[in-house]
Amino acid sequence: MDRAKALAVGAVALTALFASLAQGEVTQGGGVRVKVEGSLSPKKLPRKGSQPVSVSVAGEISPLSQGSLPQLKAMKIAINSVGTLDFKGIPHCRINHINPSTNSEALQACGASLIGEGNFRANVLLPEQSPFPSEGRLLAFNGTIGRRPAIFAHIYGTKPLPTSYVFAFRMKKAKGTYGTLLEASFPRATGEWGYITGISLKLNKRLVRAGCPAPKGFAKVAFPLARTSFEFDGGLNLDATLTRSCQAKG
Amino acid sequence: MRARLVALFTFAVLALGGSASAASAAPVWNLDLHHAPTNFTPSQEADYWLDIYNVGDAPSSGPVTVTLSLPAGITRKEVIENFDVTAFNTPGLTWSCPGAPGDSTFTCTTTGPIPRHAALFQLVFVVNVDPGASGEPTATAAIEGGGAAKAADAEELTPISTEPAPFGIFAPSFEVDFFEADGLTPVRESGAHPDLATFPFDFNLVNEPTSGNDRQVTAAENIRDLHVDTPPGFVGAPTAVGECTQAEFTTFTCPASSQVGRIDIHTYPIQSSSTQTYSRWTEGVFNLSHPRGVITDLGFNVAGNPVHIKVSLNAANHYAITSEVPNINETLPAFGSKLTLWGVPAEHTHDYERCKFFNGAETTEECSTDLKPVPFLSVPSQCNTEHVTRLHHYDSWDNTEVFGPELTYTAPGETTYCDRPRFEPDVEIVPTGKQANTPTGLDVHVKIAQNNNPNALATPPVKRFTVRLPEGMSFSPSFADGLSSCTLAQMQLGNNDPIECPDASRIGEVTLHTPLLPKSAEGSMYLAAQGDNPFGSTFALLLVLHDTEERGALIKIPGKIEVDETTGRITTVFNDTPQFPFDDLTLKFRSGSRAPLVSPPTCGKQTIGVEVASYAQPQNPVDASNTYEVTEGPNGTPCPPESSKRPFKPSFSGGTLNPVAGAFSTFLFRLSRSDDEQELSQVTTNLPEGLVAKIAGVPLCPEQAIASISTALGAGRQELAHPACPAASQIGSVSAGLGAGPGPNYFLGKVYLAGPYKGAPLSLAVVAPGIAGPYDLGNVVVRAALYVDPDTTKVRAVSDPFPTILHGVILRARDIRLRIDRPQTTINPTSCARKEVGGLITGVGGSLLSTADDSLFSTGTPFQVGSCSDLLFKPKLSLRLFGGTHRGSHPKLRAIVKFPPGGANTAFAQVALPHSEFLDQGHIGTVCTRVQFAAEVCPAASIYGTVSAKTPLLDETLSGNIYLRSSNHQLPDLVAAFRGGRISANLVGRVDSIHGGIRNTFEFVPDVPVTSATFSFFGGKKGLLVNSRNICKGKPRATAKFRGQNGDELTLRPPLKSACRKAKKKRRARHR
Repeated sequence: MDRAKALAVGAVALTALFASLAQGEVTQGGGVRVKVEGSLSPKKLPRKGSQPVSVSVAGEISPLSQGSLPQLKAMKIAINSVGTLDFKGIPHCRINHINPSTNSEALQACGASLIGEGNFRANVLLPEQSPFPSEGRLLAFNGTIGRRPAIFAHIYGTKPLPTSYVFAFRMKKAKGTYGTLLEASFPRATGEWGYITGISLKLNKRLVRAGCPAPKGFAKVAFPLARTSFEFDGGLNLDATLTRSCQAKG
Repeated sequence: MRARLVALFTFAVLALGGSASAASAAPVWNLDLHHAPTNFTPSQEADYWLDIYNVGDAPSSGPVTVTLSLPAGITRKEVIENFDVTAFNTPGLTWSCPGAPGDSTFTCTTTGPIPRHAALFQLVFVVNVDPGASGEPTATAAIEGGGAAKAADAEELTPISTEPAPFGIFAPSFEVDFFEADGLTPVRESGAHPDLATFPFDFNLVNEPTSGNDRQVTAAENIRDLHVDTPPGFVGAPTAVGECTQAEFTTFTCPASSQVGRIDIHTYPIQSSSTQTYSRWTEGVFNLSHPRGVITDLGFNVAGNPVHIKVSLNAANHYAITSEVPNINETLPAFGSKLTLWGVPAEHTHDYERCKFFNGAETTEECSTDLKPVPFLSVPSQCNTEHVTRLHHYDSWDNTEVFGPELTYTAPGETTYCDRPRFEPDVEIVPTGKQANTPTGLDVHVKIAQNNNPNALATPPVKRFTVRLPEGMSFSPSFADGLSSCTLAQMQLGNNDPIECPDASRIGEVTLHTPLLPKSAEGSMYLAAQGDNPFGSTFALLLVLHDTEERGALIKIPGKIEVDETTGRITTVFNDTPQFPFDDLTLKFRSGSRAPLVSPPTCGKQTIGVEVASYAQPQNPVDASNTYEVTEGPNGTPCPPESSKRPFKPSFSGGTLNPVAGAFSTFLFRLSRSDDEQELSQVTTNLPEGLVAKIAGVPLCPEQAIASISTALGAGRQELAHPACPAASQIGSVSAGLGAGPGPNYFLGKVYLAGPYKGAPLSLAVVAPGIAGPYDLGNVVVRAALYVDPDTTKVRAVSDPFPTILHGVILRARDIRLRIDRPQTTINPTSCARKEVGGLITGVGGSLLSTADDSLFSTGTPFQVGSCSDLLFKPKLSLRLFGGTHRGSHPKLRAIVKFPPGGANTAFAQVALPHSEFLDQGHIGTVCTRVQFAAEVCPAASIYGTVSAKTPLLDETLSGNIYLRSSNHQLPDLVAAFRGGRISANLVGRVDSIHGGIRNTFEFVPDVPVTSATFSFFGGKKGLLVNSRNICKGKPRATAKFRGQNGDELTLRPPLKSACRKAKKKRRARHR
């Protein structure tokens, strides 16, 4: 798969994921509840080929009870090959230009690489201290890590203190149902005491394309859009498969 | 030939006596055997002679036989019928003494009659001493017949020696004793009144041949002075008999009522006669009036020459009777004498003898006296003790003040029936004050009725008098103020010299009425010197009494005061008091505010334990306890129901003398209470924020020095003279007002700065020598731990409990004044806000010994300084970053703030960093929990920088770490932990953001002067800050806001300096 195709697959996957999130997919275990939500529009997509889609995504991590959360160490998203992310022509942003920086400074440095926006929430839990939330605006930039495609999620917040960091989602190609794999590691970014509790992102519409994999004779189809995996500190892994449907055009 | 003067011997004995014996209806024989010379010389002649007494009330009827049995080596030569100058003889009384020279016995018979109460001195037995005789054989004599119921006998030790006896008294002749009327039967019953007390003795005699008489006997030397000490308890009552004036005495017209006995004197014959070898002189002994310098003067005349027996009390012998016979006229050469005193002189049994001597003329009349029979002599009351009489300090006219050997005589047998004399003391002890917890004097009245019935037993004298005051009644510290004391040397105990006690040691008055003196003795009570008294005790009394008629009576009676060191209860014991009777004793201790005692703290009945023991039965004291009632509270306040419910609202004040903001000033502290309140026990003082002390340059008093301060009695003056703590450590003084009443006594002390104590970094050592008037009760050391709140630097002084009792003296602390007045030490706050000096005061409750019922009283006194507006507030802040200047670098930040001296201190400080610096969450290692912080065990990963500060208060620079410490704020606090050698301070900063920048706010900064403070935050891997841009682009500035304690506010915009120039140079070098 060439780079463009790969991106397309990724975009579809994200779209599927976000479609799934819109309906709220929940998985839980080890005292942790993960809810993944997403939206995908329009629903009517071409049976053959693809068209730009609008995608938003949000994830929430919360404890099942009053207990504390384990730290999220890593996150993986495997995307159905019907979707593609197409970052062609978008320049790459260098991470040291935006880390750390304010949003405006990040846009000033890498505005041309912007591929989406969102929010980020984490709790900072220090010993004997009431947890305090750390919030920030999330800017997604097109980038590379070691010449491999990546999405840089730049976070900047001023509450309670001005802080800034960047997550990097590495993009990998795969064969089979899920053609694109996104992987991110978090500890370094949020610090020892940070606990990610939420993340949302809306990708620019022009960068994602998707079609509907309905077989001939079927107007609608449900399909495994994406499989998510959350790896927490202590070895806890929570997986969720987002199943979404689409209506075929043509 | 040596001059021959009258030598008379007497003994002075005072005593009342009562003869309980009835006159006998038959003759009663008594016999004395004498010999001369004292040392028989082998191969020479010598004499024995007899004194024959018919002490019965009837003359003899029928033959009377006298027998003298000679010892080996001594044989009969002849009998001489001596002429008796006192002529008791009945004319025509002749003796038949058949026998031959060489016989070993003499037997003489007369048909009499020998008159009643006659004393015959007729028979002189001349003996030959064998050439080989030696030793000290004993001759014996006896008399019987004449109708007497029983015979009488006598024996005489007869030393044989070639050497004549030296000047002195023939020891075996000295036999002092009490007798019944027969002169033979001893009286031993305790308190009994004997008929007679006799004091016989013979001088050492030598042969001194004259031209007409080759065996003339004379005393070795003629006596000049003589002293006799009778045993303690041998006393009498001169007031029981009449008095003879000097005029009457001189003209031999003493009234019969003044006669107290008789004296028989053996002398050299005054008439030349071939049959006269010895002569005898018998005279009456009279109680002379108006003695001077002595309590009694007994006198008699011998051949017209007066002889005085001067009786006084011997201070060296427990005030027993001592008699001096001075300047004995040597007109008649005395061989020996026998003084007889009558137990009850007015008894009719003495009428016959009385008349014989009346007017110095002989008469056969019976002379009575209309004086009521009152005992003059009594047997000592004390059993189980030896009654020893001493004859001493006698010398001769030939060798004045060359005294002969002392003689002692111990009466044989023991005093008996000590349980029989009645002893009923009546004691009344009345405190002069009836208010609780108030200084009070004490009036003591002891009455002991004396039994003057001659047929009963005398009241025994008091041996021990014990007064046990009720618990709670204790010494008043106020009492000692202005008081002095009397040292052992000044007391002049053991002699009759006047005391030298200072007037200021007089604490009361005393009067005593004793039969020894016609008028009451008067005197004073003195406070004995601590440790320098007969008991070596802390407290003691001295009663000093003197007669009011110049009789020379000076009586000093020490009393021991025992104080329970735990309860302060006082017990006074007068033990082994003089063994003479008294019937009335009053002691009046001074009253008023300087009274010696303080009454118990509560109302109600109080018991004063009194025990009085007599010499007769010292083991069975009589309980004569008293009760009295405390009827109201101090100063007329209502009675407190019980001790623990007494009110406790002490007065508390504290402040500086010069209340100008930021100025040095003396700090004054006072804690006081009224008499009706509970005693002070402890105080915790919370000083207002900003009232601090400059201890830089003040050395601490070492713990070793403080520990060396002795609390032992007597150590106070040593501490005063040589303080244990160095003078440089002194920062103030203290005066502690102690005692009840309007005038407390103040202990003055010093306040030293000392080191850590009870977990506090510093402490005060308050050292107050317990000097109260003449007393030195050791040192009082009270420590006060000085806790410095590290967050506020407020000082909390927690005193140790004050001593409530010091060596038995209940201190009753009621006014404590502390003065920290070392120059340039105490510094006022620079805030003029109204503040408070807080106090938490502990009262002792009901018990001095228990803390269980202590009560607490919380109080405070306003504290405020002024002139804050006169203070400048001009802090200077500089900020500098070290390390990388580009984005993502973690620079080190150093902030230095400086304060000009003399200005207001900082109250608030806030620094907001520019946007160029973000927090790197990833560099938050950990935070220190508050528990960890309090325990000073913060993990190393919670340290994010270092801090240091200089303050004029301390010698050392404070330094420490900057921690992230958990807090109640949204974010952990940034805490600068300043640590010095002793003092710690924490500066707590709240971290937040403003306008996208990091801001730290010290909302509370202690009101202490600081010269400079430096805050250094780590950079690099431990740096919390991260550059969000290249800081060399632009000129980032911080915003700093300060507010002074005086309210002045200041905003600064210091640049955030960095190593940009260095970075530029590096870049240029790289480009090249």
